[in-house]
Amino acid sequence: MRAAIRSARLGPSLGRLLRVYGLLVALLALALIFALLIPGFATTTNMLNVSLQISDLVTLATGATIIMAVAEYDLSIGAMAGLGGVLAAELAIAGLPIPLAFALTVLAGAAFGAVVGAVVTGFRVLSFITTLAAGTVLSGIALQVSGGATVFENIPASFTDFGQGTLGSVPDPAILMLAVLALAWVVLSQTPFGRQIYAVGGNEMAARIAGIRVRRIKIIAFSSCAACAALTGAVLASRLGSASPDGGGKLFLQSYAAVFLGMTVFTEGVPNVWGTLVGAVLIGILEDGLTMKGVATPLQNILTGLIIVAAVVVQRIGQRD
Amino acid sequence: MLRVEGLTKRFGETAALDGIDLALDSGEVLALVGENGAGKSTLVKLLGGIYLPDAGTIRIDDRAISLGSPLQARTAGITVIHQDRQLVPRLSVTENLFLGSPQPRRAGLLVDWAAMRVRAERVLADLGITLPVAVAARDLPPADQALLEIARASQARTRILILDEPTASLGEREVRILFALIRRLQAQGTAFLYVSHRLEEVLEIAGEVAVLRNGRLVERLVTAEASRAQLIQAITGSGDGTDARPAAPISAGTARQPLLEVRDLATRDGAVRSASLTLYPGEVLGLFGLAGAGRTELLEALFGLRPLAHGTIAIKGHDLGAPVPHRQLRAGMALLGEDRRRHGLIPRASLRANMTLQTLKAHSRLGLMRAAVEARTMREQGAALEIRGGPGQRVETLSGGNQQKVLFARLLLANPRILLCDEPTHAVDIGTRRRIHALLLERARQGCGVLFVSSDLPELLSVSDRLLVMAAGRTVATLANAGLDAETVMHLSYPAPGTAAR
Repeated sequence: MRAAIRSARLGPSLGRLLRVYGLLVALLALALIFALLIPGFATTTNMLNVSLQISDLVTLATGATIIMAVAEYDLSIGAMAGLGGVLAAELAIAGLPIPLAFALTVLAGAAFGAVVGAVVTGFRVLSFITTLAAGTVLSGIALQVSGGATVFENIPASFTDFGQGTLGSVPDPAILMLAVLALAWVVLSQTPFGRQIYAVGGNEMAARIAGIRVRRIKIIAFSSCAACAALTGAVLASRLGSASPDGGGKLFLQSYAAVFLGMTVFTEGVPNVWGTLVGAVLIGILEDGLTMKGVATPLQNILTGLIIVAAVVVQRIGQRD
Repeated sequence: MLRVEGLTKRFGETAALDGIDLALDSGEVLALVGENGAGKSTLVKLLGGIYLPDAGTIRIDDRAISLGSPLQARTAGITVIHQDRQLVPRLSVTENLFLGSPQPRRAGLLVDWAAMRVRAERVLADLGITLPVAVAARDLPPADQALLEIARASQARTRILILDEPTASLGEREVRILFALIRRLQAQGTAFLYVSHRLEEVLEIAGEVAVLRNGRLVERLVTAEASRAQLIQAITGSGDGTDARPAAPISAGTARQPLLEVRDLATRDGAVRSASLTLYPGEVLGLFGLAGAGRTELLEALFGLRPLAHGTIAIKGHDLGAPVPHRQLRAGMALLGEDRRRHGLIPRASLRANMTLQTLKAHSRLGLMRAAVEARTMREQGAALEIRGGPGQRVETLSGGNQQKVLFARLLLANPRILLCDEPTHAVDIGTRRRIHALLLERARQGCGVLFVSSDLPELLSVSDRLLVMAAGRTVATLANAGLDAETVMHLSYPAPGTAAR
């Protein structure tokens, strides 16, 4: 009993620390610069505003984190968010109680995701292509349901109660975002199911040999991811008081950017919930700061894109020591 | 033409090749034989420019050369034809044939396909083989692919052609065509190094045979004067590895109900053609076979990782139908795969998550992991197996031996009755190896059945109660391990003449 488990190394090197927490450092630096340059940036009001602005992104990116944790992609989440918004609005217009409209929307998303997952795993096709096609189907449905235009007429006033409401001074969507994050964190890191998810994503063959039912795990991941996307769309519609069938376009790219950025922190190279949050906050702060500084949208997009590429490249260079 | 002197290659502590001297003249066919791990592939890789030697020289025409890459080897005139084909699957026979060599152009720009096809047909005719020049390489039968590779090598001004198990996927008729091609090129002055397990073929095609054992060249025989028996003796080294284990208590075993009964099992891909075995509680059943005999594939088939063509698998008397991994586990069977990285590790997950992966239920309650229970398992297993590494440390950062211990702990925690272990001591140090042997024997004596695959025959002879021998996808014999010697097993392992695949 003399040699129990003990660490092979004394502690992480400085380089490794910088690498693992580099994104966090970058985020703090960015916040500091904005705080110094922009009056009104470092205020509670603005921070609460940022939390509202990123709530859709974080909810969507949490779904993307789950699907990437099983080493698959779902490129239909943008279209799913678009459909989610339209669906929730139309159900509310049809007279359903708002919570029920939301619940049905999320369920529809989960069901569609499960079908996509069953197709991907059953026929062993690439999720990349399958979900790209599924996205086309979803935008078609969204256009059909919405009649091809943004839905805003006849939406009951109570529809926006949640999206525009606050608890204390914290926006409701930001609280929902935290709830979704916390739930995803518990599931991914504190449950046997989460262990199975990461095992499937880390080494599918080894997972099978360890008795994990890979197909089932992946289908659940697809389903959860699509449910997150549908929820994102519904909340976004509730926040704006209208639903556009192509509402999720920009969010879709940003959510994967957040996951990729997040993979550079905490558990390196592995999609993780808190990393995704850091990535999303970075994107959110960047947009917020640039907007307050009066930078026009085209230039904002260019800068955001470049900064994401730079973050990933720097992290990659750090790996080569 | 080719002179190799004092060639040495080390991997860590062990010398895979130790001072090899070898000469090969133009127009000569030299066969290279030896057990698994004797150093054949290392030598092939050194000559093919994949490894650099630690010591020794390689000369061609009395000029010392350095083979730092496959390209350098090819430029020096050495081409290796590997077991797995190196053709571009979607390109035609013609395109593959002239891959990398200048092509006839029209107007100096466009490839002149017509001219190329005509040239391809001429080249093939000169070699005495017929291949459809316009057909894609992937649509050729395996034998024709082998011929195409050799034809391509002959185009690239190859002077030394190394064939690594060229007949592994060939039938008798294709072997004839291949041999005719070798003889034709031989007459034109090409030298061949012919690596094979098939002794009859070696005796037929080669002028001389070099025998490798434990990284040394132990003998060079003239085939005209050598017999199959002599070769096997040279390969195993007479009197080597005969320290049979003390009489094993299997007397009780045969009376009991078998844990596992397999009858006439075959996989759809043909890697296993007909396997039958019986595993009793309380025994370690060793499974031996040469490379390509189908050992790993048999274990994978038993565990449900390879589709079956026919055959039955009964666990404790129950035929469970087509095997599926999670059902096999529930029935008490577990597999420790051959390749740690591919079959076992979740590289980026923690040591903890890796170890408890197969026993998540026991380490959780109401759907939540129980940190305290996991911590206790870590302490117990860490102490029992002397695992060096923190519970939260990524398993990919552990040493190979420690990784293997983690996987072993994972396997044993699940308490399987039937343990399928594929090369469980591969690339681990002596201490770990002994520990793994002891653990497996202990489990067996507690009533489990262990199916133990190893390509190290002395190891198998020292741990097995009985020994099952496979050759060319078939189980050929089950031997009680009492007074058993390596030579007997080797004789059985070499596929008998006429049983060539397909």
